Amino acid sequence: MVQLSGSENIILSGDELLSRDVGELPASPEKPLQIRAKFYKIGMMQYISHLDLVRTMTRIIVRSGVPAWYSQGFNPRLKLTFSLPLSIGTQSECEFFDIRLISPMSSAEIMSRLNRSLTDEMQIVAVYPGTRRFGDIAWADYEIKLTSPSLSENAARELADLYTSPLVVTKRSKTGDKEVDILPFLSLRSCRFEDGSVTLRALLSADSANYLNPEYLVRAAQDRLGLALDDPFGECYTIVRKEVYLDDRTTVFR
Amino acid sequence: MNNISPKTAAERLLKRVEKPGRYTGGEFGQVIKDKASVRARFAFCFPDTYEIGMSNLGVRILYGSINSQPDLWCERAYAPWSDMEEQLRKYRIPLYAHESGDALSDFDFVGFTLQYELCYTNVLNMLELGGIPLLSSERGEDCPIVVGGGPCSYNPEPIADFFDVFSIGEGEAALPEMLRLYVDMKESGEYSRAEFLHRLAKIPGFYVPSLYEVSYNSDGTVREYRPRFDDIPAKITKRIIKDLDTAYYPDRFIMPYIETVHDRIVLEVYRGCIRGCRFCQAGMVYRPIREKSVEVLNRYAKLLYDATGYDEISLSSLSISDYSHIDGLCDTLLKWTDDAKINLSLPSMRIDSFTKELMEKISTVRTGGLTFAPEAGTQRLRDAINKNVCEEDLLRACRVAFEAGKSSVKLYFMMGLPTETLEDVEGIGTLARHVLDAYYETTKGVKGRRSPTVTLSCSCFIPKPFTAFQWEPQNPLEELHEKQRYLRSKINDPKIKFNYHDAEVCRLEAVFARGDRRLAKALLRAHEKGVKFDSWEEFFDYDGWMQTFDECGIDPSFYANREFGEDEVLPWDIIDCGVTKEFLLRERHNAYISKTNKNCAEQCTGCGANRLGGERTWCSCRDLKTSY
Ligand code: SF4
Repeated sequence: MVQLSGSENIILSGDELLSRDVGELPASPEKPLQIRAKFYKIGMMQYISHLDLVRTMTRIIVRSGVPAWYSQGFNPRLKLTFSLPLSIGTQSECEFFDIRLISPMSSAEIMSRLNRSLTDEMQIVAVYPGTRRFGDIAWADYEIKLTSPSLSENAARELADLYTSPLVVTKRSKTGDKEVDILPFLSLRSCRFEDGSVTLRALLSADSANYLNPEYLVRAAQDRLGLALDDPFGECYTIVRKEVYLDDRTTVFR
Repeated sequence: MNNISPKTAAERLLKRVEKPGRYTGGEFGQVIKDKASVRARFAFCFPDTYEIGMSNLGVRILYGSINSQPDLWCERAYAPWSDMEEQLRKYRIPLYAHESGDALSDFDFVGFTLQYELCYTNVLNMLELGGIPLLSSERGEDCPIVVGGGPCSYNPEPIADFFDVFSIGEGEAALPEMLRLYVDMKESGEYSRAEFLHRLAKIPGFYVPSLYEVSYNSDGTVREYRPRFDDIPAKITKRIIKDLDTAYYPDRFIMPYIETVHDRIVLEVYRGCIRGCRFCQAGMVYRPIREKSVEVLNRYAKLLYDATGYDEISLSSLSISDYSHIDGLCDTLLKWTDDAKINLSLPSMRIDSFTKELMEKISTVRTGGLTFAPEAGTQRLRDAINKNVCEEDLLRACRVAFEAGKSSVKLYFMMGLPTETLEDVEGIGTLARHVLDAYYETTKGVKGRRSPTVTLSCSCFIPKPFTAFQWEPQNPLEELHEKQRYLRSKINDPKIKFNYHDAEVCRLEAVFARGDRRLAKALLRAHEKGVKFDSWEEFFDYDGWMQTFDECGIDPSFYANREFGEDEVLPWDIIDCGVTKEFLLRERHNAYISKTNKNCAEQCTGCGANRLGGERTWCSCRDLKTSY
């Protein structure tokens, strides 16, 4: 196992915030209360696109009876904002959305009303008074697991080297392809070989200007190790977003 | 893959398909039961994509009605798109039901809803992907019982060899009854496949094709249907639900994650149709006319709104404005839907019922596109098909719409109707021009109005079983093309847009609509060649089909373009849909003299469907209760 320095001093602050009951805070139509839900989206649910997620969650909230705030005007809309969008095919243990309440309801009640409508592969784990702006999310921690019979300790070492040296990838954008060194936007935490898989943990830049999709790391590994990673029952990979951080890379976003 | 479910296996390969959201299951509203406490399992298969299947009302009703019984479990499966099929085949993962993730072959019953003829190849493909032998004769004791139902089961003959049984007519009560018989026989040890099917054939509404022998005359027409047992009926009478108010209706819908064809609440207001257009199958086979009361509809609207959060309620029936209490229903709903920001939509409005008041009330009429279906271009032909709409009705409806600010209308027509001449075809263009004139008249002197458009959408006539036109030949392909060209040449105003259906698609549909059992060979052959999704332009291959027919020694014109004899035994004569052959024949001859009928609300024309009984009708059906 290759352990890199710096990864041990993560301060897990913010988790006491998760247990704060929003039901104890004042909420009224004049002064709606902003609340935040933390949820996971794994298994089959990784294939539900961001857009479909927004639509689904809107309907779930509408029919749940949670006293949510709607924008005023001719066509009232539920005020619902999500944090960092997730690509199809990436699972996550750490997603957020915000709504506003116009009358108090306890966190437990809100969770149970919403979770009833969701499958066990997508459940809300906390409802709390989150106030930090989603824009403050600067880094996301991913677990990337590559599986292939050809992998070994050696491959783990090679990948650790790959992700800690300048790494030029071709980034696609509306304005055309661009060659970019992604090293400044990535920070490898660990990389280990076990049971025919290499599992790496890495912090990737997640602010809107420099968002780095974890798929780039997979592609770089494919190129370096000559892997196809295209056999769902043999050589393949999975990506899980584990946590999101502020700019200091150590304070978790809540 | 040894001990994981096919669905768990499929989860891994969804990265490699284009729309993975089609295959995830896990939607809110799906029914999950404990396998251990379930006594019979039914896989409800929709032989087209998830997006289309999820919007189907029949599936929703039957899914809910089976699942309303604690010991029966109904799940869903859809036709995988070709990219998913490729993956399933590559990794030998069987087609699975969305709820449990189990392969179709693990079920007691596999049911298909047959919505259109062009889904038949998908049925075969789904059976194969599900690990079930295609021919009922090849299925062993442990194979699921394969059941068919839906509109196409009124002539099930082309696919009779692939089905163990068809449920004819309305299935809400029939399907649970079938499952109950199965459970009882299994538990008492009396079950064998053959014995079960034999007993089922004695229950009204179940057609077990293998128990009827068909013989043919030397000219290729059907000679007779002979039951193999004395104790099964010679003709299968369709089942109906007598009282729709007390019949099962879902109080929740499955909510798809991805966008489907219709994401909205659907209320079924009544069954049947009072109009009797002579080309329309739905108008005949869903008779007698039975309606729901306003109270019941309003109650379900509220339940479904609470359960779904949808912002649109669609009032569904063949011709919604004919409902006896349409104003009362709209007013009752509008009392609360407006506040809840819900739109009401009336998708099947008749031209003569389109009024200013209605337009103001119904927001989707206010904001949506405007479509009318005159069906034919001249009054003579509209009379021949018993459409009972005149040009003045259409122009009046258009004027109302134009005055309210609309500038475009879409008009539906059918080409190749019996007795049609080029004059009738040209009439379509003339009608479009009159609509444009009406626009200029109504908006004269009004500033800032957009330039109008009239879109003509023309399909081709397909003779369908259980219609007055069931004996009529379809126009040969060349004639349909000729008529399309002719109409195009008559339209030289860029404000008139002309769209038409692929005549080749309509011809294939006609072959299967009036087909008999001998077509099974062609379906099998097509399936072997990988044919599927025939109703999708990117898959439809007309020349391929013609070659397949040729290889099987089948002449498609025999089915599509032949005038069937009035004394001929028709392949669907084995089914009794309520409406009698005598009535249809009378109607056919009325068409030739352009004689129109009064509608059923005004006067009964004696279609015979009243024999089936039923409650709550506003029509003159004899023997039906009109208590409402
Ligand atoms: S029995 Fe008479 S009124 Fe009833 S549906 Fe038939 S034709 Fe119409």
